Formats: sequence, structure tokens, C-alpha cells
Amino acid sequence: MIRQLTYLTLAALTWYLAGMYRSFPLTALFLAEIGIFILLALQALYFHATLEAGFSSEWVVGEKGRDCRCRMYLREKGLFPIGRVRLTLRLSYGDGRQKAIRHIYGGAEGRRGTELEFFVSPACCGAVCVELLQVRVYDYLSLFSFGRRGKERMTLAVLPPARPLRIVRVQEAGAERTGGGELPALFSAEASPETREVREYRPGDAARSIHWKQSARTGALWSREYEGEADRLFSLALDFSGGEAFPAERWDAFYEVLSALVLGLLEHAAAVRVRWRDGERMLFQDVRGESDRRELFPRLYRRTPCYISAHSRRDVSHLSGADWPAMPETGRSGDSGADWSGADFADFTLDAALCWRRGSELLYRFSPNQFSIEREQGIFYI
Amino acid sequence: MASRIEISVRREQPEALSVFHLLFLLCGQYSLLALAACLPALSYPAAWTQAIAGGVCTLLWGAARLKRRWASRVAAACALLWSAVWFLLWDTVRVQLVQAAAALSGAAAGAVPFTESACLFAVLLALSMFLLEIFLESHMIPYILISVATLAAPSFGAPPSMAAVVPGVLFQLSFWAVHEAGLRQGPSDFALQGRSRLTAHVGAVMGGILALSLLAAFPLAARDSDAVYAPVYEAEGALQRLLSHIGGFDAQPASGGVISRGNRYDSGTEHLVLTADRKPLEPIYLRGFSGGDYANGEWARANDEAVFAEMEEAWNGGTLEGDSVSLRVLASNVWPSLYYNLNRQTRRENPPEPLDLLIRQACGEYRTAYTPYYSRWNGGQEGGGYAWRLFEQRDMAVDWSCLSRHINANWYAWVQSAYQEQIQRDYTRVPDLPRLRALCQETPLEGREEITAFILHTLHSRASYSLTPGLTPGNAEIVEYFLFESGLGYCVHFASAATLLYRLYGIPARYAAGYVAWPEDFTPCEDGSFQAVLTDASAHAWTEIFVEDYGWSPVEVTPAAGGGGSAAAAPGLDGERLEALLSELQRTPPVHQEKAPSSGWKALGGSFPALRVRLRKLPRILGTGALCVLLLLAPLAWLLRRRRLCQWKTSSSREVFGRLLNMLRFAGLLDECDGEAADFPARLSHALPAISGEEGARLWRVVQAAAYGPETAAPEEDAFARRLWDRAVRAVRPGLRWWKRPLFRYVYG
Repeated sequence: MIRQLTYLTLAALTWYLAGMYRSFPLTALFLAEIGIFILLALQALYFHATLEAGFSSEWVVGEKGRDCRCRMYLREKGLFPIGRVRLTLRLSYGDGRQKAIRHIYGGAEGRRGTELEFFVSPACCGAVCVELLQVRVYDYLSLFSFGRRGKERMTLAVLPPARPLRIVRVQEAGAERTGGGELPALFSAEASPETREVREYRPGDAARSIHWKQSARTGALWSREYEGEADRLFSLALDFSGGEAFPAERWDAFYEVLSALVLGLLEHAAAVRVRWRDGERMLFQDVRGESDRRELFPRLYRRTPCYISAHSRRDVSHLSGADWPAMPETGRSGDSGADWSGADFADFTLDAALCWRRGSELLYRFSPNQFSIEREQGIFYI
Repeated sequence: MASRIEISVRREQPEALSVFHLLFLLCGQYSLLALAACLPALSYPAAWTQAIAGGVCTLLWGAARLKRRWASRVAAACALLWSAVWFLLWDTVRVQLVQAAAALSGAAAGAVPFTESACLFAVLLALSMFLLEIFLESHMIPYILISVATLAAPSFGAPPSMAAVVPGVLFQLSFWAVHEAGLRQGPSDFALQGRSRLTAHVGAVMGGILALSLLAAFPLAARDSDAVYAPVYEAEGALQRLLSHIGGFDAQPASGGVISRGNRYDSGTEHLVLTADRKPLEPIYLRGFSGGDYANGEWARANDEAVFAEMEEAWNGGTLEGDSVSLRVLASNVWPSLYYNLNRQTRRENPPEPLDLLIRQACGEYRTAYTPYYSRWNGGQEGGGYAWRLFEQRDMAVDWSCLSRHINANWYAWVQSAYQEQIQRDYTRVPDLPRLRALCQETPLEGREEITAFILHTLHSRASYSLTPGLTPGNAEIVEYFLFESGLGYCVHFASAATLLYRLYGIPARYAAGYVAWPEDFTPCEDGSFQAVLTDASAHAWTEIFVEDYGWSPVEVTPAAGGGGSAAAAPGLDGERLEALLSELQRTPPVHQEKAPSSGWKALGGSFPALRVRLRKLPRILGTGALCVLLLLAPLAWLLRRRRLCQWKTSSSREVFGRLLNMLRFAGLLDECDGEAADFPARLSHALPAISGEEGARLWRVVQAAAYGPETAAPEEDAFARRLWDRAVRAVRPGLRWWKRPLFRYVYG
């Protein structure tokens, strides 16, 4: 409105001076200004009818603490390029408390569309629901604008950072066990592993498995492979009960613990089978490396209360689970009826209260606020 | 909040400047320099300043296009060089600036040499605009600068030309659109691939919208510009009337010597009520102000007492030989009713009866007494107002030989001759008005009839009556502006010009302001008298000249008020001779036709429909027209190309082949080839080494099969043909001459 008034004031001043000085150029200028004003109003209306906007993908995976790249598309079906479009986005974790409304400006040209790129820096792990609230299109001078409600939405799966928990098996730790400091140490009376073979280092090998002496002698990294480790599979059951009302910060702590725990366990096993209940079904995901981990958390986010509440505000059909956005399946996930045999079985549980259990025995209870310190300083023995 | 979500965007590195940036910048600075060139007070080679500014801008743009960092270095070098030249030319520039300031403020007449300063300012302008628009991306300052310059130019006596307005508006709108589209800084900007291309296209389309609007505006403005101005005048008039009503100024009678520099808006408020014992047969001029000296658009009040004092000094010590009465005292007593008394005391067979006139002022204040000509004060009235006894001009017939013995004719003659001598000195003074003086010097005349006829003809041929002549530039001399430039005015302008012209010809004249009551204004009353109610619309200004045996007499020079000029009826003038002279002058076109056209097509150099194009304005008109056409064609070409490219994605191999042949002929590579001959692949490969003979042969086979075979080409063969076309275009384009490339891009390529 202010722009329109400014423009019209300028036109009126031109008109006044044209009349007062009887200037033909100023008269023509005034009439042209009025013509432009009308044309721009029509132009905004035209753009409003010919613009399409939406997210380039329904899922985007990012990592906590890093900028998560998101993309939107603007498609113009008409003849003229669109100079300015304002997209109003609402970002929320779904707990109703943490949400942000932001505007993104862009332009569109051509039927093939233009991609807009923006970066989200979420402070918590979890599913961030990005909704397109409004698309507002402007004429070239931004005098007129027409907006419409957006219907598109996208989920940003924010993964916890890949920082493993320092877990030490008692047989490997030996006398160092006492070095756990004040933190409670866990103990598992398993047999000491023996080196089965020494092979060249492969990316993803744990640091503890590096054969430093051999590496120093040869000038290349070598890894030790322990007896039985290649076949070992830990099982970690997740219990979400009681966490329905947790805020995003609390779920952030849960996912951080889970990630660290899985990565820590992976140091001692070929895979960690994470199991959880989704309604009546028991689902699992075998995690063997980073790619599995990146699959695990989006799957978990789909069933967590945060995600459900975020997506159920407007459309309850999302609760059925049948309309989840498709995620790549690797064959290492499925229902709980899968084959568990042939694995070095050690069953752990992590519940929403951040209690890590082996069977019914409480191994450790992580603190939601102090977890980063616990992870950095603690050594956990199993 | 720990879980606060932050959203951000990353700004892309600034992309290379496009040609559009250069064009827009050149438009902006061209507009400003063209506006400056419209200033008549400054004299400098405008084309040179345009060339210098354009060169600097292009240099900076070229450097920035190659590497943005270089532009800052080139700009710094230019600034240093500029400073050095400024320092060397400081003395010259300082003098020019002082003279220019005086000329622009109206304190000095004539054009000031301004070449060195103009060149320096042109360079400074180019540097500043480039810095603001490209480096700082601050569009607001140039925008405001151009807006203010365009709108303020008329008030400095430099009405902007179309050549200045169109590029300025193009610059403003295009850069505004470009900034909105991509360069706009904000809390959440966007990163957009191909941003500069988008902004360039947006700027081009905006230019097209401007061109379309201007092309529609030209005929509208030219057809009836007065209809466009009318709402402005009505609005200003309403506002002025409202303010006058609130301030109580509308009820106060008009009197004063300030020549209005704007429009006149009457409110219809009653000012004077006249009551006459009989209906007058001639207009009655009621003088409230007589102007003596003129300076800066204002008349100083004429002071008869000062004239009498000077008369006394100049006339034999101030006493008549053989008489002890003082001339000054005598004149003071006799002069106000001298010609009434002379006429009254002239013996004749049917002596005319004077008219009794009672004047009442509606506001009740009597600070100014309005005096009719050939009158005598008849005293104040109890109910308010004052009375005069007067003769109408037709009844004036002073005959010195038939004067009654009741008056001392010697005294009257003495006063008249002394006064006449004195006003010959006092009321023929004119300030420095070069154009008005030149006009009189070029037309030397003698005789009151000749001079009056010339003045009337000059005024009526050069100017038209209008209550809404518009504003006069602040630095313009209003009478010269009225007569030589605007050509529009009302009574004060006509009267002022006529008075000054009379004086330049040596005839004592004064500017008079007051009211005029026309005979038809008087309506009969029940008591047998006649009454006229004068509103502010009856306020008037006229010229009074001194006529022997009549004294100061009004000369009507305003066309509308006088019904085409009633000066022929002025006393002491030979009416028949005056009419004959006027008719003769009307048949002969005046020597000077420098009057500025007021509006419409006249402003472009002629009148519609017989458009008389002045040759000296032809380049400007053609340039403006070419710019408009270019502005319209550029987006049209872009749109056509875009449409063609969209269609191109589904073109068949035969269509591609036809276009390929046209393109190669345009490039001069395969002049005499129709594509039918079997050696086409070899010739194609020879002309375009980037395309192998096998590829050429495959294309030729595909096209032959599509043309003469039972089925059309397969989609993959069409796609192959299009790919081959793309490669051919890339191979041909670098070898073209520069002037062929735009045509190649938008037509053949």
C-alpha cells in the first residue's frame, strides 16, 4: 500500500507540474505512469494465475549442527518472467512449541521452472515439518501482489551427528577398565577376542582396530579383524512409551544417545539391529555403517510422536502409516519376524527416559542435558 | 531457545554485468545530462559531456565485466585523474560555478560559459552512478536524483525534453524492476541460478511496458492536453479557495503590484457594491493601485506627492511667475480632480451631467480607496462607503478656450505641463529587460497610434488569455517569460507587458490594478438608481497612459477583458487610424515568432495535424522514436525467440535441415546449396569442420527418407538432427561479424 501511494504521489506530482508548466513531456510521462500502473496491476494478476510453487522433494535428510539444504521450485506457465515471489514457510518440530515462520524471495522464468535453494539450521534432531503457507507473487515494481495459500509440505529429517559412544569390551580393555573415572563402568564377562587376520585398512574401520605397529612399519594403514567380530550382531530395542508428550529438545537427546550408542556398538560388531514397535508391528533396521544409520533415523522419525503430531494437524490420514513418503529400502530392514540366528546375540534396550538396559538390568541412565559430556568423557564397558 | 530453527540463504557471488546494466546506466546519466542541457542559463557542448560520461561509464563497465576487482581500480584511477584536473582548473571552475549560481537564481541574465565544469560534472556523474548502482547496489539515490531533476527542471526554466524524460524513466523503472527481481537486499534473500539472466529479462520486459505506455500516452497527451490539466487546476483552485476562505483573504479587495506567477482562481466573493444614479454607458475602471517603478516582477506604488515635489524643484523654483502659490501645494490640491473640473467648467451647448457613484466595500474595511477616472471626490457616506462624481470618457471634451471664468486656467495649465514633463522622466523608466528592449529596438515607432497598435498586435499575436497559464519558473523574468516563452497569461501579465512596452517607446505609462465594472453589471433598483456587485472575478489590471487634457487614461490591452482589445476607444487616440494600423499589422506576420509553443504537438515542433517539424529538432525526435521502437522490439524479440526455442524441442529433422541451410546461407558458408545434392555431407563437413562427414551423411539420409519415404523420421533421428543443429550453431557463431550476431541470435540461430 505504501508503495502504491508513493507511486501515485509521484504520478500526481508529475501531473501537477505538467499542468503548472504545461510541459508536454511531463504530461506524456504522467499518462505513461498511469498506464504502467494499470498494466502492472494486470501483470500481478496474470502472474498469480500462471505461477506454480512447491518443494522439489518430500524428504530431505540433514544433520544436526550443519546447514540442511532444501530446494523449492517455481514454475511459470505464462510468457513473462516473474521478478519476485515471496514464499512463506512454517518450520516446526510438531510439538507445537518450536516453530518458525520465514519468508523466501525468488523469481521464476520458464516452464521448466527455477529452483530456489535455502538452508535450514535446526538445533534439534528429529523430523522438521516445512510447510508452504503462502505464495505471494508481485509485479515488477512490487506495487501489487496477490497471494494464495500453499498446500505443499516437506519433511526435513535431521540426523544426530555421527559421534560414537566409547564402548569397550572388557576382554579388550584389560587393566584399563579402571580408567572409566567416576562414570559407572559396565562389564560383560565375555571371552577375550583374538585377532583372526590383519588386512588393509578400509574406510569405516574403527580406530581401535588399526594395527599401529604394522602400519608404522609399512607406512600404510592396516586393520586387525578379531575372531568372531565379523559375524557379531547386537540387538537394540527401542521403547518409546512415555515419550509422547516430550518436547523436541528431549527427543533430540534420545536420538543423540541412540546414534552414539549404535555407532559405539558398531565398533564391536558387524551390525546393530535396531528394533522398535510401530503400532501392532515390530520393525527393525540393521545398521552396518553410515548409510544404514542415515536410513534408520528417517524411519524412526516417521513413527515418533513428534512427526505424527506434525503431520496430523491437518490430515489425520497420515496416521495410518500407509501414505508415508517412500524411503529407500535396502533389504536390511523389515518386520521382527526376520531371522535372528547366526548372530552373537546381545540384547539391549533404550527407552524414552534414556535408560540403557541389558535385559531388565539398567546399564546406564543418560542425562538429557549432560549427554554431550557423558559421551565425550565416559567410557562404557560391556 | 535451544531448539530454535534457523533458516538462511546463501548469497551467490555477484555475476558478471550484462549489457543491460550498461544500457540502463547510460540511459540514467544521459537523462541527467540532457536535463542539464535544457538549462538555458548554462552554455556548454552538451554532446561532449554526453560522450565523456558515456565513455567513462563504458570503461568502468568493461573493467567490471572482465573482473569486478578491476572496476574499482579503474574507478579509483578516474577519481584521481578527476581530482587532478579539478585542482588544475579550480580557478576557472570556481568562476563558472559562481556565475552559474547567479544565472540559475535569476540574478544574472544570459548564458554562462560552463564547458570545463560541465565536463568535470559529467565524469563525476558517471563515477557516482556506477559506484551507487553496481558496487553499492543502492538504487534509491540515483532514482531520487533523476526524479527530482526531472520534476524540478521546469522551475529552473528548463522544461524537460522527451529525450531527457524517456531515458530517465527507463532507467528508473528498469533498475527498480531489476532490484526487485534479484538484487534486492533483505533479511532473507534468495539464491537463484541464472539470476542475472532473469533480472535482465525482467528489465527488458519492463522497458517494453514503458514503451507501450509511452506510445499510448503520446497521442492522448497531444490530442487534448488542456483536458489533462483541467483537473489539476480545479484541484489547486479548490485548495486555494479553501485556504483563502479559512484565512479570510477571499473577502479582501485586490490591490497590489505583485505580478502573479501562478494561476488565478476566483471564488465569487463579493468585494465591491457600486451604486450609480444612472446606468453608465462605458466600463468604469476603479483604480486601487498605480505602479511606478518595476523590478523583479513587482510594481512599486506610484507616488504622486513625490512627483509633485520633483515638479517643484524642476519648475522655476516651484512658483509661477507673478504668483506666489507653490506648485507642489497647488498640484496636491488641484491634481486629483483636475480633469473633472476642466471638463465640468468647459462651456458647451449641452453640458454632460456627471455620474454619481457610491462605492461600498463588502468587507467593511476601507484601507484602499478605489478611484474612477475623470472624477471628483464627493465625500464619505454615513452608511459606509464613499462617493465620486465622474464623467465617462465619452463625455470628456476639455476646451481650454471655453473654460468658465470660475477657475484659474493658468494654474491648471501650469500643473498639467509641469506634471507631464515630470512623468516623462519618472514613468518611462524600465529595468534591464533585454528581450523586451530588443523587440522595441528592432521595431522603431513613433506616434501614439502606431505604438499602441504595435503593442496590441504584439500582445495578441504572441500571447493568449488564460486564467491558468501555469507557474513561471523561479529564475525567469515574468514579463519576458509571459511574452516570449509561455504565451499565456491574464490581465496582470498583459498590462505589465504593455506598460513596459509603452515606456520603452518613451510614452509615460503606469500599471493599474483594481476593478472594472461593465455597463451590463449594473441593474436597476427600486429607487431609480443602478447597482453593480463586483466580485473578485471583476478584479482587473490595465495600463494607463497619460493623455493631454485627459490625464491618466486606461488602455485595455487584455484580450478577453476588452473583448478583443478596446484600446481604439482610448482617449486622445485616432480610433480610425488605430484600427487601420491594427488591420495592417494583422495581415503582416510579426518578425519574431520565438514564442514557445504551449503544449501538445506544438511542443514537438509543429501543430497537429499539419506537423511542422523543425529541422533542428529532427534528430531528437527521431532518437526518441527510435528508442521507443527499440524498447518495444527488444522484449518482443526475446519473447519470439523464447517461443521459437520452445517449439524447437519438438521440431522434426526436416525443419531442422531447412533451418540449417538458411543459417549456413546467412553465414555465407553454403551460398549455392539447396541440400538436394548428394555431395551435401562433404560440403557441410568442409564448411563446418566440427561436423564430420558421417554425421552429415546421416542427417542427409534421415532428411531424404523423411521427405520422400513412406514414414516420418523416428524421434531419435529428429533428436540427432537437433543435436547436430546445436553444434552447428556453436561452430558458426564465433565466425560471424559483430553486426550479424544479433540477427543470428534472434532470427537464424
